[in-house]
Amino acid sequence: MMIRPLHIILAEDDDGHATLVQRNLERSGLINGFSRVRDGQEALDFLRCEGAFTGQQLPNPALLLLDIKMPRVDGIEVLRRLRGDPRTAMLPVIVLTTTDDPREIERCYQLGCNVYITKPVAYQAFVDAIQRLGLFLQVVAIPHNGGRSQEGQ
Amino acid sequence: MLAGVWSFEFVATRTLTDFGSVLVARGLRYLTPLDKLETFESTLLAGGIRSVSLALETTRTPVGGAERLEMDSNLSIFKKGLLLVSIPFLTQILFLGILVVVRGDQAEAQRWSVHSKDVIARTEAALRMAVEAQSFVRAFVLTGERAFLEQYKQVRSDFCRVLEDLQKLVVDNAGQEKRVQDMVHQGESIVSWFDDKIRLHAQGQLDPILERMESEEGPRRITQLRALSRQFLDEEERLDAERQVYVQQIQTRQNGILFGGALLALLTSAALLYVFSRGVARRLAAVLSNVHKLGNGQTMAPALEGRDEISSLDRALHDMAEIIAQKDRENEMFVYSVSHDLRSPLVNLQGFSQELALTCTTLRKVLLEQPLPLAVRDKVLGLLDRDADEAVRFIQTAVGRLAGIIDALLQLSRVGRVEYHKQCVDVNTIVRHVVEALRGTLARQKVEIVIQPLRPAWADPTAVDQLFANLIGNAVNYLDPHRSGKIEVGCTEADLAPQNSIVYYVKDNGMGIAAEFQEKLFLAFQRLHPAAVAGEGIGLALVRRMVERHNGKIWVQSKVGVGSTFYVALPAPPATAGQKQQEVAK
Repeated sequence: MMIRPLHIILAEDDDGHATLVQRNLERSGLINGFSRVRDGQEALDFLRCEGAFTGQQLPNPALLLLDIKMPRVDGIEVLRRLRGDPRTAMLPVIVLTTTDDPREIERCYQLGCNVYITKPVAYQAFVDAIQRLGLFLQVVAIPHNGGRSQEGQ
Repeated sequence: MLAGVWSFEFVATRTLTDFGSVLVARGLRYLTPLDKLETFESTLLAGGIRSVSLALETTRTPVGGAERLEMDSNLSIFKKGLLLVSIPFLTQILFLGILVVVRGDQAEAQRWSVHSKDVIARTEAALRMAVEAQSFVRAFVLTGERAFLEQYKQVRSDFCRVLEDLQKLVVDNAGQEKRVQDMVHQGESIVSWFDDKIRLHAQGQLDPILERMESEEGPRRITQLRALSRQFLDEEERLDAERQVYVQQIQTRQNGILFGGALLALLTSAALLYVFSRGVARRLAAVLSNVHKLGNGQTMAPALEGRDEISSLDRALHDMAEIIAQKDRENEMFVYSVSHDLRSPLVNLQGFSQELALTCTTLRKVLLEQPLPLAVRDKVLGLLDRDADEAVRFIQTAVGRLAGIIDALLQLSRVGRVEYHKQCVDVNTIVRHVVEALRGTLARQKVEIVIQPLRPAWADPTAVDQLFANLIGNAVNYLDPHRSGKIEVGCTEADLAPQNSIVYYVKDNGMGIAAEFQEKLFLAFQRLHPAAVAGEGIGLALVRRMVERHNGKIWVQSKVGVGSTFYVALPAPPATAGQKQQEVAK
């Protein structure tokens, strides 16, 4: 089975966090495709190829790393709209946020996020999580149509 | 229960105003259910109170007990006080009125008694005068002395006047009037007989006079009068005796009314006092208990029913409690969002200091690999090892501290917001788990731990777990290194505990807590021995918050150098659930 390069889209308003995520992904070898959007609206535009991204093609397979607290449209809303749209309903989504409120996590899973990662202040744990994820994504072939990955079940 | 609506009609006590009678009626309406009112009515009637009628309206509405209580609670304290004062007062006035009437009756009866005696005296006087008149006539006829004639005339007119008076005195009694009439006729016949004698004497006809004197007609007529008057007197004496009995009766009745009135006033006051104490004292006690509960952070009883000042007070108290709870929630929400927002820049600080450390490592590798003049390489390596590493280390320590504080704040805010699922918790199992988790530490420090049988509590299992983990963890952390540690967990009884709760204790022989620090112990970010254990000092603050949210209580007894005992009171499970759990625990 041929492994196609995975494109990672990071929706994150904090430049520092974005840089840290990107660097660690690069270190774990996930450098084939990386895009970064700054808020929920931009994430939606990117994934639907609308607005500023009109005419572009959505890379396939793709994975969304989604922050919850973002200006304009927040992560929860992005998740809700993605799941409501048949074009993006099957996109794997990893929620990546500082919140560890059990109710918030529960809500994200109910809305159909595949994995929820708390950005830990203990940085090494965070790096480990991202790297494990990278390795995992390299090993598990994301289906061509962008269906749900196994670990999200 | 039946309650009636009544009105009073005061025939005798005219002094009572409309206002007064309305108040009495209203007062009794609150005081007396129907059956009691009927008793009251019959008491009044039995007391012979003819002149007061107590009218009972026919509308008899069934009134439940709760509704009556509501009436109590709808009366303002002022109105209750007014009733408390006015009802006994008005009862007194009512009885005074009755007394006045009864006294009037007594006076009338006494008047009649005097009247009888007067009649008897006059009758006897009349008889005496008749005899005197006879003597004077006889003396005049025999001696011819004018003085006797004058005296006769005097007695004669007195005799007639007395008879006339008697006639007037007995007009109210037909039988006696008839008798007096007969007496008057007889008296007239006597007088005419005497007058005849005097007329014959004046004419000088002595023979007929002597003849008449011998015939004894005069004394016979007087004897007849005496016989008549005897009948009359007998009847009058009988009437007099009857009136005496009546006076006696009234006297007895008056005593009865006085006694009954005093008794009724006493009962009215007692009943009013009971109503007042139920309406005010008991409700005030309920408010007071709510104030205590609010002070202790416990759930208050539901607001009192009613519209009086006390229920207003209780409602205000509930509103205040709601405002306090609202502020608490806002506070916790604020702490939560602030500490949350603080986390985001912390991730950057921590992340980039890590990046910096990584860069330093890479730089060091590059320096070693590249051919550089030795002096330059040493200088740069020195800068990297000493200055850069030190800076990174300080940043990371600071970030670690900050992260710890923020986590503590988040925990504190969560412990206030998290939903509890209260159930019957087997505390034995939980404490065994906690001790199991600490086994390594306990073995290393050679701590002896004793777990007495623990009764189940009505609480959230996760909270109970955290609670004992904190308390036992603290006991282990603050043991005295100079002696072997001993920790005991058990159940006890305590006066300080709220009602219907189970008191657990965790006792150690550790360093102990100084008295002046004991009150700060349960506040967040207070640390007595920062050197002994790392942490933010929120363990006991968390425990206190958890215990409070269970409507429980936590306190400590400690002595420096001897050890500390922490007491936790948690609610006991409802009777049936607790028993079952206890059996399971055995």
